[in-house]
Amino acid sequence: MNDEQLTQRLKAASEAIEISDDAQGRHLEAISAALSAGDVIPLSAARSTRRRQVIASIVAAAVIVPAGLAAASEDAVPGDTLYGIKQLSERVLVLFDSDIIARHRVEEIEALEDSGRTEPALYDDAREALTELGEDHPLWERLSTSPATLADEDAGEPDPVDDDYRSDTEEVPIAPLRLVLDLPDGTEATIIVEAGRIVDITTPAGWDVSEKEDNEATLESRSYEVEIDLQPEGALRAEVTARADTDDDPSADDGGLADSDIDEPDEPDDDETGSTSPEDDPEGDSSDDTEDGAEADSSEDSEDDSDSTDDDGDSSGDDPEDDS
Amino acid sequence: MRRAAAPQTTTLIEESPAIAPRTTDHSLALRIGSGEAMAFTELYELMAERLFRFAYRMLHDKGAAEDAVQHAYLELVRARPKLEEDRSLEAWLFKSVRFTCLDEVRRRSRRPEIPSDQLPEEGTDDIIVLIDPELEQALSMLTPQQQEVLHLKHVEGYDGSEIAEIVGSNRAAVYAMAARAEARLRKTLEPVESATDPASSPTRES
Repeated sequence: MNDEQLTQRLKAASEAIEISDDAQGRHLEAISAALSAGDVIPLSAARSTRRRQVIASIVAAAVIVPAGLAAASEDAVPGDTLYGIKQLSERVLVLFDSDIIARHRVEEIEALEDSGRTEPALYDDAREALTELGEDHPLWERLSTSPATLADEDAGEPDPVDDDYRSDTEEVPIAPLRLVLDLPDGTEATIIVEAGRIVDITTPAGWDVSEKEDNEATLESRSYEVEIDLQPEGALRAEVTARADTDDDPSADDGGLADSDIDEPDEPDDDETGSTSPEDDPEGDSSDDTEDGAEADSSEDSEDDSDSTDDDGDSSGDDPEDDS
Repeated sequence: MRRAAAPQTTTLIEESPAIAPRTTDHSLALRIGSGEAMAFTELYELMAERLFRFAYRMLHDKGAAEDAVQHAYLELVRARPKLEEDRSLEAWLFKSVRFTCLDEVRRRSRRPEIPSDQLPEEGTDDIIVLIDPELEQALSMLTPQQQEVLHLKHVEGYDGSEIAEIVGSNRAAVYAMAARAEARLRKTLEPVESATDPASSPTRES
């Protein structure tokens, strides 16, 4: 068989492999949902649609701002009715566009100057946002050439070096965020976030809130434990741990709860007796649960960066919030 | 945590030189960069089937291959502000799918898993029927790395440096791997022609 014949044969064999219309429809829907910032972005949840269990931590960034309203607020300046909406949608959009906050502030400054007004707080906000983006960001030019800024600096304003930028922005009074979290059993919890803090959590039947602090909380059901963690940019990170079946193995229940520890106790099982445990366990489900829990935890590393999966594979580009 | 050590900081799209744009062009990349929904749809239609074949070749699991394709596009949605205009979207997507697949392969090697095609509750009626069992059998004896290089070379028609960019290797290594894989495939498929010793087993090779 020469090279060309080999190619022909491989090609012909591959042509039998066709992606189904059903999958294409699902994918296009997921893509468009991810593109419209007003929508839930269930990145890893979408990926595991065909899995029996939730296998990875869910990055659930959800907002209630309808896309149309977000667009209408695009040109709002401080004092406008829609300005709060604009700030709210920024928190999500910044996930896709790291420059958006600085750009908005600079544009607002320019818009206000055009109408003969100034808003000193905007300059601080703009500088803070730009400091996050780096000293050589092109937007600095637009900001520093503004006469109002020069006047500001003449007045002896100290350098805008502020390492507590995030807590500052969280003080901006905005409407409470209502975040919807998809739970691994298909139900939803609602988390109300106000000023960067979790203020209230509504859980469906069968779920309890076992711990709640300002920016993290733990939800528990009979089969799962979900730890949620509110990120400064307003996204919600959830980590799902499947519990071992309580009836089967009480000790696993105890041990299984500590999230990042679950990998350790599991490890010997995996390596030494991993092949036997599924058969030994009369209930396939419960063993699956344990395994999946461990997996959810171990995939966390890749989730953190990009959801991409490989050693050399963290797609650099995908985490705008990381690189400021 | 075993896996915590694995991820390194090497970047997906910024390290190596771009391979020349093929089906994707400058303007599509620009439109992707600006988040135009139509551009994503176009790119999906251009590439989804090819990515799916590639993923299926590596995973032999329809559901997992579909997930890998979707994942690549969702990654692209998130990564688009960073994409450079002249960066080949095609190579980027192949890389992304590949990472997902290799991760899946690694995960399975840690813990044997039934492909979702074989799970009783769903998907039993949409297993992909392969038309060349003899070839599939021969391919299954290659390593995942050999299979991917063979696929990229013969089915996708990429040249050595394009493949090297996708698999994160260099051209010489890609050529060597392809040659080894081809030799092995031929030996399996045509034991009599390629082996001078007629007694040599058609399938055994260590």
